[in-house]
Amino acid sequence: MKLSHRWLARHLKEMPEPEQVASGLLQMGIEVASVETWGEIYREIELVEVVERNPHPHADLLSLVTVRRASNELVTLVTGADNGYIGDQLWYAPPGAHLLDGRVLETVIMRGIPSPGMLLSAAELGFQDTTGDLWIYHGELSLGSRFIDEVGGTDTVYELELTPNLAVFDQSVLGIARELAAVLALELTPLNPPFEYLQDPGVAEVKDPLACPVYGLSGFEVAGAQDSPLWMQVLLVAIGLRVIHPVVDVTNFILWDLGHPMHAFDQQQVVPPIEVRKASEGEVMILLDGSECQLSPADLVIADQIGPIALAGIMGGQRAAISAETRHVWLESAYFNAQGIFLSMRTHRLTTDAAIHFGKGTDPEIVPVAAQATVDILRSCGAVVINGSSTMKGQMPIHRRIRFQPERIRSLLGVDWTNQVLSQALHRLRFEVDGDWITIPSNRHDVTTTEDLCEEVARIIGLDMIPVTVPNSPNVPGSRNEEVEFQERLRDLWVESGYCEVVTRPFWSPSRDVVMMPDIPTPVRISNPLRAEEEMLRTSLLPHILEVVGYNRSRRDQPVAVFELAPIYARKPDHAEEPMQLAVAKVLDDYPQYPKGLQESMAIYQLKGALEWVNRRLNLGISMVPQGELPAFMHPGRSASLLDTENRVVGFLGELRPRVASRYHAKRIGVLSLSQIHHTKSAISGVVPSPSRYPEIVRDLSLVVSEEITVGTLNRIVLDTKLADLKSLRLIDVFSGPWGRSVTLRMVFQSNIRTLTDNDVDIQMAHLIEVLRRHGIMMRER
Amino acid sequence: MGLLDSNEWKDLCDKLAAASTSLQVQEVRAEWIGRRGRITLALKDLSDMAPEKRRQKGQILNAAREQATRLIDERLEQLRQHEEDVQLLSERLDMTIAGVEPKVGLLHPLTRVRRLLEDLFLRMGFSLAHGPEIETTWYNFEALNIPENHPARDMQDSFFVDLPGMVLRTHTSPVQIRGMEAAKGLVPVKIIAPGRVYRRDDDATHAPMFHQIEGLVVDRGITLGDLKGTLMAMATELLGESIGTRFRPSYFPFTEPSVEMDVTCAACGGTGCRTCKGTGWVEILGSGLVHPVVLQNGGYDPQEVSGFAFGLGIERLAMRIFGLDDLRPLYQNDLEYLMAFDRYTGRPML
Ligand SMILES: [Zn+2]
Repeated sequence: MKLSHRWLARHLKEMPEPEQVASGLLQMGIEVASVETWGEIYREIELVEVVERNPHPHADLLSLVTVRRASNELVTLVTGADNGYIGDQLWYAPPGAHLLDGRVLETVIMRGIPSPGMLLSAAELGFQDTTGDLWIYHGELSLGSRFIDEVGGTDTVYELELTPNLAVFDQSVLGIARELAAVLALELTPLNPPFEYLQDPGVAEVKDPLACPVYGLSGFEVAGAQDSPLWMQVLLVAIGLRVIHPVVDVTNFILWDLGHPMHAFDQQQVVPPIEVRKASEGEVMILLDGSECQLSPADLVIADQIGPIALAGIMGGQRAAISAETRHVWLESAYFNAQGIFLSMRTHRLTTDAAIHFGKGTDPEIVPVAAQATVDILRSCGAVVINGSSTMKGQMPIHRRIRFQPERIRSLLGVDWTNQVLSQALHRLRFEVDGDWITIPSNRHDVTTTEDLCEEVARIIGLDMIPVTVPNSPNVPGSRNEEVEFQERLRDLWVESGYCEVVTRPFWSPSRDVVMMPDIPTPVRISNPLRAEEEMLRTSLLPHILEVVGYNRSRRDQPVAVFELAPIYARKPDHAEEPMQLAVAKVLDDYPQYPKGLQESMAIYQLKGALEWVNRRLNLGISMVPQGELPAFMHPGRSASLLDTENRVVGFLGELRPRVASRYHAKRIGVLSLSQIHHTKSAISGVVPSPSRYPEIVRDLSLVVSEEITVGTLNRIVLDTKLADLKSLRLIDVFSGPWGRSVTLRMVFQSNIRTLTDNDVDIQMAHLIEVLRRHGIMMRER
Repeated sequence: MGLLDSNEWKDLCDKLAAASTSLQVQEVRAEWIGRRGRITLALKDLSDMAPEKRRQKGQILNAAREQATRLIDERLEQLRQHEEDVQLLSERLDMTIAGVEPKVGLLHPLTRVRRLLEDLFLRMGFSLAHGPEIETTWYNFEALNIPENHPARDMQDSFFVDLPGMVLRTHTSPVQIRGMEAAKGLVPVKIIAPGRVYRRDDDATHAPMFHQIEGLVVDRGITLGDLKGTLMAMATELLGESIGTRFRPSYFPFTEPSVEMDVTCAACGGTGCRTCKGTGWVEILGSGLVHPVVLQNGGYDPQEVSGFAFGLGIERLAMRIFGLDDLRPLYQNDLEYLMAFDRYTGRPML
């Protein structure tokens, strides 16, 4: 909402400085989004007098007008205006002056004659005047005066942001003035007296008093008003409204001045009595904006004996709209049920200023005040206003009363303010305490409980005045649960392993599928996605991570190693599940670097090793098997399924097929996808063995094995042999030659109770070699 | 062969100095103290001498031998050192080349800020609580005093899903109700609930998915003063002793009274700039006393207990801590950008 400082002054007997206004608004919870000075450009517009007028030598429709400036300088301009003759005073914008539309004036040549700047019409200044093309000045200002003097100087215009609760009663200059009067202890200018409705019969009927508790309708004959008074035009223009016609302008003015929307109908087009009723099913009306509105019994309408003439509280209809010819009007001033108007506004998507006010709730007591204010302003425009018949239907609602509970207010706020302090504070906001009861002002639909009163007290006395304390409950340190701790540790371990954590948005669409993930659940679909490629929630995490890889690879030839631990979303018949998944991706390609890294054909072992390390550190209980079902996009020779402790498949690890990797701008990408992430509660001992104090004996064993026997199988054969003193086993070389595949194992022997001799180890090695021979595995010839 | 005289010593010293390899020094050693060396031979000749003379001469010769051995060893060590230097310098590396840094990754800045907040609140006695992201409209709206057709539902433009009665939660506030339900009427309830939330917004300062942390305290006699004290303590721990705070009335359907907390703008230090729209203040969280309806929906009697709640945006705080003016790059996952968060922030926890 825009607020003019000058307009505010109409409601306050003494006017605070803009800084005070800003701090008062802040304390009351009204945010000032911006502060602007209005009218600066009017400083450049000066009053001049016409001293000569001649026809343009080369154009019949143009004239040459010579004006005298205050300095006695004469300027000749070309104009197409019909008015502006010798002796007339006009507003002149010299070259360099700015117009409202942002144009900067200069000297232009019009049909061969230079014309420096421009003589202005009212519209070009943002105002309305119906007397002719150029705006002829009739006031007291002297030659050379600036237009800013005519409009009373510049104004400060605040852009306010109102929270929904404040919008109930603060959406008007009066509302803001009341808040400032309360917080800055200022005196308000009294409002004008109410309109005296005559209660004439046959004028209006309210069929639905719940939807429309108060309805005032008054008839007038309006004549002679051409333009709105300049002071009102200035206020409306300052907050960005267009001035159109006195009757329209005055209703706009009252709307923003008192927060009370009004509506006028052309009496000529209306067949009385006017009815306030619910629309019937299938009823249709054409609104002021020309649109057709399909009504339903949920909508409240203002209707005459022909049909609806307005969608109540929201927008008038075209049939009874005011026009330039209108002389007799029905002026409606009403109080509607806020909820009903709000719902209709939403149903029809008509967020008019009227609907925004009525939909929040207005002040019923303003109904007759606003009607009289309208008459007063029209009369001040020089209009002849002759009152006709009028009526007001319904009763003023009685003021709500709630219990005054000062003790509870004190205990909720944590203050020791006395009852008197509390009731005085509330009084400043027009709440009246009377013993155990408190009477709520007619426009404060938002206040129904003691908690609401707490807020009012805190606002008016100031949040700063509330002492700072801490809860007196014992301060025991809080905790994360075990599962969350585990997840955090999992993130740390991947980071320590060289992978960068990413956060992706969980929106997805099958149109983004490059890889077809196995075992995906039914997706949860979003009914109102922001864009088509975000129409559902993801059912797997890996595709997101791969998009991150692709995005980075498309930008630069750099290594990418990323992971994310986040939920996926599975639709069940009547609910959704959000299990966590882990996805990891690493580009294995060589890239320019010094010194060189691991060759790319082996780099997948880094990802595998990272998982093995994490697996050991967190006891994930995962085992990897190269056989088994693998997704079709995985490299069949460089992948493994991941099994949990009960041998269920919980994921996979390996390289993408190079053809798939190329979609992400890499030759080789190692990936890992893991669901069912949790600590295994297996019986693995956490006991670390004591170090032996006896020396180790190291033996390297080079073997020739067939291609079918994997290193894993070989390791198992060795370990299953259960050599008494074998302490560790490590692969130190693998290579293939024409004679087969050579595998070298380094075996470390050590006893916990004695020093081993070479002979001890020789006996064990001989046994092992015999076992291996039975499996067809031979020692490599030197 | 007589005693070593000064000329002989000079001869030895000159030869040692002239030797440029350890081999040449070994030759000098053989010449003087080797098996057929000059001193060795002189010592052998002693056996022909009278005992008294032999003893006297023997002492001198032995001293000379020791002296010669020392000179030779010294020269040998000198040359070996030199030869090693020559060898090692041939292995010279360009030590201006950047080192190979340990290959470690980095946590996402949002994770780091979330943990910073979590740890801070854990120390203040809050426990972590979590709730689902696909939430029922009851928990997300009605239970929080946002009935259907309440204007406040428009404040948070929601994503709806194909499950009847469910939305992507628009805030972490539903965990207030879930947290109270889990506490089964016991006090105090003291939880924080971090998590992802969703709103239909997408621009430089609004993401359709973002992260919040919700806080809730319910106990007997909780006051607005307690809320102020707790949040000011949080701000000080998070942003430093010198941080200024202020509270403004605000509106949330699930708190009454509602307040927002501002802190001094980091960009200008409070003098006013573009970031803070010239006010010197930046809003960091919304809060208030728990609305009685919300307490009731959580299974608590508002006449018996009271509480306060607050919610703050992790992105907004991350923007403040790291001085960001656009949150979209946080989700683009450009590694060059994410790895730029590797520098020390002045907060050991980050
Ligand atoms: Zn600033």
